[in-house]
Order: sequence, then C-alpha cells, then structure tokens
Amino acid sequence: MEALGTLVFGILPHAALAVLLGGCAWRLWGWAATPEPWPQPLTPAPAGRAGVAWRFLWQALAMPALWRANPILWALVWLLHLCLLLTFLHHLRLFVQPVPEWLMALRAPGRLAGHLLPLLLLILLMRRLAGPVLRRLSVWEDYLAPALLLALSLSGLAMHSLERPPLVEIKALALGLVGLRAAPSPPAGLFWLHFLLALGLCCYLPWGKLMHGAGLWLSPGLGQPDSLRSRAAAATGQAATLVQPGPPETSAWGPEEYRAALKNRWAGAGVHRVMGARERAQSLTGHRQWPGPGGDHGR
Amino acid sequence: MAAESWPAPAMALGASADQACLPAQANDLEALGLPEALPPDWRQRLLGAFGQALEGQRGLRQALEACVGCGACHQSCSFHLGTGDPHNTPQGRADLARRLYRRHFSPRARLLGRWGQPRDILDEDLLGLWRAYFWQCTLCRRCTLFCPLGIDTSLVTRACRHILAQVGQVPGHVAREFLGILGSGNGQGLPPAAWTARHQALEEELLRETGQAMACPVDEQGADVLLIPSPQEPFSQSATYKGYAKVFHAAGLSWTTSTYLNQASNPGLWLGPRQAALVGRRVLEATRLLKPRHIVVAESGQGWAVLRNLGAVLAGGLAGEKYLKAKEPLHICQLSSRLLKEGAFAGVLRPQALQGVKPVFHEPCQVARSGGLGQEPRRLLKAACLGWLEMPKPVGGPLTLCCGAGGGLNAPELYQVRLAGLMPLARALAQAQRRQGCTAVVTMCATCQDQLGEGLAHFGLGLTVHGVHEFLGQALYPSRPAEARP
Repeated sequence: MEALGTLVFGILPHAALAVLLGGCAWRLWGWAATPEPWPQPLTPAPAGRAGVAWRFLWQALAMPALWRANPILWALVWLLHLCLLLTFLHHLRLFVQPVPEWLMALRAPGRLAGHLLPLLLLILLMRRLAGPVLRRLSVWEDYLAPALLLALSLSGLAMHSLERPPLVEIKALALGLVGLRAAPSPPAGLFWLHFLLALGLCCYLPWGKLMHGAGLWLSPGLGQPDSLRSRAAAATGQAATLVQPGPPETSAWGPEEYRAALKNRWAGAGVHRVMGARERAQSLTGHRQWPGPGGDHGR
Repeated sequence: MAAESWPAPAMALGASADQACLPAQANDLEALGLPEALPPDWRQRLLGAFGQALEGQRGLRQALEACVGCGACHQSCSFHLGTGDPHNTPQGRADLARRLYRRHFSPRARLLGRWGQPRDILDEDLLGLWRAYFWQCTLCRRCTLFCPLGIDTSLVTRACRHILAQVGQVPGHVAREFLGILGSGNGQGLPPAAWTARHQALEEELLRETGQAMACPVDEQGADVLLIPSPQEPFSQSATYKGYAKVFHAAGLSWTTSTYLNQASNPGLWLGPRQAALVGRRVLEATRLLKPRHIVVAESGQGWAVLRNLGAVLAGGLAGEKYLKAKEPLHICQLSSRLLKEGAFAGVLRPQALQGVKPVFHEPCQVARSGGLGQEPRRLLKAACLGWLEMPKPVGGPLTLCCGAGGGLNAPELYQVRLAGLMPLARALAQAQRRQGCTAVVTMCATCQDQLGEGLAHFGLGLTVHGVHEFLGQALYPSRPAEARP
C-alpha cells in the first residue's frame, strides 16, 4: 500500500505533468512550424495585425460563429467553458498557500459550476447521440473526451456527497506536488479515483481534440490580414515557395510563339501594324485619358 | 408547392456518392504532366502527397487536428442542405481526409503505430468517396463563418484535389478546361479568330441597339484597360459584356481583351500549384504582350478571388511592369465605382431606364467571402437601378449562399449535384420573390449567371438573371426599341 501510494501520488503526477507540458509544446510547435502558403483572408478582413488579434479574441471569447449556427448550442458551449474555468480556479485554492482573497470568493460559484458541469456534458453527449448526422460522423474520440470529463466531474461530486474528502491531506499533497516535497498519501477512497482520472486527463489532453482551443489561432482565414502590403508579403514570403513552381517550362505555345502568331493574323487581315489603342479610340468620339485609380483600390 | 416549403432531403449517408466526375483521358493526363490514373504504387504516392500537404499547409492541418466535431457547420453547407448526405457536411468532407490522417499521421499513429487500428484504410472505396465528395464542394467558404474555430473547408477540398491529381485522379472537364487555356487562352477552346469575329459582331450590335459607335477591341497594345473576362460572356452573357463596353465608352477609356488569355478563372488551382501557376503566369504574359495601363477582371467570382489573393503568389508581383498604373489587378466594379465617384457618367447615367425592374442582389460567394469587395457593386446598383433589393439578412452579405456551380463543378455529369447545391439559394430567392416582390436576380459572376439561368428555371422561379454591368450599361445607354433602330 505504501509503495502504491508513492507511485500514485509521488511518481505518476510528475510523469503526467511532463506528458501534459511536453505534449502541448510538441503539438503547438508542430502547428506553429507549419506554414500556410495560400493567402486567402476571409472578407471583410482587418488590414493589420492589431485588427487580426481583435478578430481572434472576439472569436475566442464571444464565439460569434457558433451563435450564428445555433444559439442554444452557443449558450451550452459558453456555459461549459465558463464552468470549466470556474472549476479549475476552484481547484487552484488547493495548490497555493496562503489562498488569495479573490480565490476564496470564487468558492461558491466554483461549487455551482462543479454541479453544472456533468449536466452540461450530458446534454452535449445526448445531442451528439440524438442528431442523426452528428451521430453518423462521430468517432470514438468524440465520446472519449466528454466521457473523461464527465467521469472526472462525477467522481469529484461523489467524493463530496458519498464520503467526506480528506481535504487536509489533499491540500498537503497538492502543496507537496507544487513544492516538489514528499507528502503522505491521502487515505484510500473516491479521491484516489478522482486523482487518477485527473492524471489520465493530463496525459490525454495534448493528443486529442481537447487541444481545439489552441487550434483556433491556426485559422488561416481568420488570421490573415488583407491589405496591399500583406498580399505582397505573402507572395515573397517563405511559405510562397511551397506553391511556386520552378522556372517556367518551355511550352509549345508560349508568349513568344503567340506574339508571332498574332502578327501573322493581323498581317493576314491586311493590317501591317497593330493599331494602338489611342489611335483607335481617337477614331471614335470623346476619348479621355483616365488619370488612374488614384487611390488604394484594393485596400 | 411554394418553394419555401420544399422539403429538405432526408439524411442518407452516401446519397450522392455515385455523383462523380468522369475521369480525364490518359493523353490529357500526360499533357498535364500528371501521372497515369492509379499507377501501381498509388497508395504510397497518395500517402506521400498527403504527408507533404500536412507538413506544408496549416489550413489543412487545422481542419484535421483541431476540429471538435460540434456540427455547427452542417446547416451552413448548400450541398448538405441539398443532398442530405452527411459526407457533404464540411465535417464529413474533412472526415474523409481525417480517416487517413488518423491511421497514418496522427500523434497516436506515430506513437503507437498500427496498434488497435484497422489494417488498410486506404482502399478503392475510400478513393471513390474522395473522388465524389471533394468534387461536390464549391469552396465557397460559407462554413468558415459558422465554425467556432474558423476552419476553412476550401483549403481541405483544394489540398485533397491536389493529392488526387498526384495519382492521376482528375476530372476530365477540368483537364480539358486547363489544357484549353494553355492552347487557346480559354477553357472553352475558342480560337482567336472566333473571339475577334464575335467582338466585331458586338460592335455592330451595340451600334444598332444604342446608336453609338462603341469599340470592342481585341489584342490592342497600350490600352487603358486589359479586360480579363469569362469566355462565355461575349456569347451567352453578352448583355453584361456590352455593359463593360458601355462603361468604357462613357468614361472615354480605351480597352482591350487578349486572345492569349480570355478567361479569368483558374482551373489549374484544382490540379496543383504548378498548374495553377501556369495559368496565373499567363495573366502576366498577356499583360506583357499588350502593355495596358490597368489589368481589370470582369464579373468572375473565382477569377477575381484567385487573381487578387493568389496572383502575386502564383506569378510573382506586377512591380516590374512599369507601364502599369496600378500594381494590382482591379475588379471591374472597383473601376466603375471609381469612375462613378469621379463623375465620369454624369449626365449620361439615367436609372429611370430600369424603371419597373426589381432585382435582388445575389452576391457571389467568391466576392463576398474572398474578394475584398462589398460596397463597390452596391454603389453601382444604387446608381443604376432604383428598385434593387438585398438578400434577406441570414443569407446576405458575407453569409451569401453558394449558387452550387463554382469551384470546378461545371461538368455536365454533375447537373444533379449543382441543382442540389442551388436548392437553398433558390429557396431564399423564392422567399424574396414572394415577400418582397422581386422580379429578377442581379449578380456579378459569370458562373452564377450560368447556374442561376439554368437552375432557377428548373425550380420554376420566373426570375430573370442579370449582371451588375448589364444594369449599369442599360442605365448608361439603354437599348432602343427595335422599331427605332435603323
């Protein structure tokens, strides 16, 4: 039992944390290192980087796209993420000493969020099963992530309602983990299950779809500004070389051959010199020299 | 039955799996520089191309790795609404690629290998699904506006088409269109003589209809404007095309078209970067041949979006062309709108000519979501036509519905797919017709015009289809009644 306690509370948490941080770093690095060679900003797009940052922030915090698609789903999803944040903050009080005032103030909302969380997850799981199209397109991973969160939150709730959680030992353990000190294992009970599930979540999180929050910032459509300068930069940037082919190959019908054919055709029609546009226009009425666009048309 | 109550088709997985394009001929593939159809090592080739795309295209990677599968995109896709097929949702379409990703490229596959995985996921069945469903998407990007993560399905569709091309899986009509551009400057294979003859006929028609001598020049050097139209415009959409001539005439601008490139849209983009660049470079080559002062793209959705966003990537910038006054191509609506603002049409423009016409403005997807235009066509419509209407808000502006025909779906064998893709837009138009009493559709894309003209008749909507410049041209120089003509 002693050895098992050391394994579960001494070794596994550090291993899980390493997987979490290492995995997230690996995935984020992989994404950041992937270029997007096709510039294709989503109209109406901001012209500069500040505008793009606001656009991302607005997408991340208000989720206008989801609101457009389905306001009820938007409410559920927004509430779910709020509850996850509150639950996270609720747990944070265990890892710091002394506990700051604002964290103590969040205890009541945190408890409420903890009770709402399984409900919201269940509704979203039911939605996935109830929609015929969504059910057809779902794979096991689409169920794994919410199921893991559901098990985690239900075990946490059960810990509080079925038995009395050993909060003093848990706090000592949490502080020990933060400070890299050995702490005695809490007595056996539902906390062990909750703790192991949390470690499982840490190990799973970097690899699966729970990384979607970081995925938003990859969106080329949302992330590309739209201006003369940005388009020129995209054309000369490193990424563009991925889609730009080498020097033009000689085709049977290149511009030079074409120029020769053009001359032949006009000569065949009895014209020995291609009439310039100005001469031709002067033969019509009211020709005017257009001064040019005189402004940044394309923005 | 009123169009608004057309039933949405019931959910049926694989309902349109058999609606695939006819494959390209072997000699066409050879001319394209692509491998033969399904070479013996096609699995390795396809996986190799897939891995390369994943490494080099963040948009593809995001779609495959970041999607939560929330389903918010399902009802945004015209093709899902029209066919009821889950494979035709943006999620389902990306899922066809994600199957390969999960098996061969995901972190799990890399860490655990084949453990717990199906042995061979890449078979002829999956290839068949790819061939069907990546050609049932018009890359209209409407789903991007409904995805909370901003995932762009057009990048998935395009990448997968390029991957398919790497194993010789190319639709015949796209191959022919591409080779047509390389051979005669346009996908329809119109020879320069036909183009020139048609333009002479247009000059005669314009003189007869308006009493004004207007030029429709071809291959003239040093013009103010090199117009890059769609090849069908002088023929089946000549009213819009005459609108361009009328605008240039009213403003006193010289213009020309080139028989080296008389197609704005770039079918090479559906085949691969190399092919896209070959067509993109042709714009530059045509410009160098004729040395115009401005490059102007006519009412073409994909042509404009590609030339504007990717022109410099594909062909290099225009900075070296000293004779050009604007270093980027202009859209014809930008040009006309600017001319309108400068007063070039003052005293000529009479919106009364279009009294009684009540058109609803269908903004093409490529213009509304990829084209950086918005105010310009509306300013022109406001000046030319007093009674024009916007589409209802849920499908207006950037949320505009796809017409169902762009993105290389113009093959005869895809007629049913196109009709299915048009269905949501037809429904919205029927609503506008009933509630707001609109009598016509006005749009600014040759493909939209073709598709709406063909498809709205199928749906029994008595709406006529027009281009923005058709109306502008009518307001500038209205056609005289037949009896008043000489």
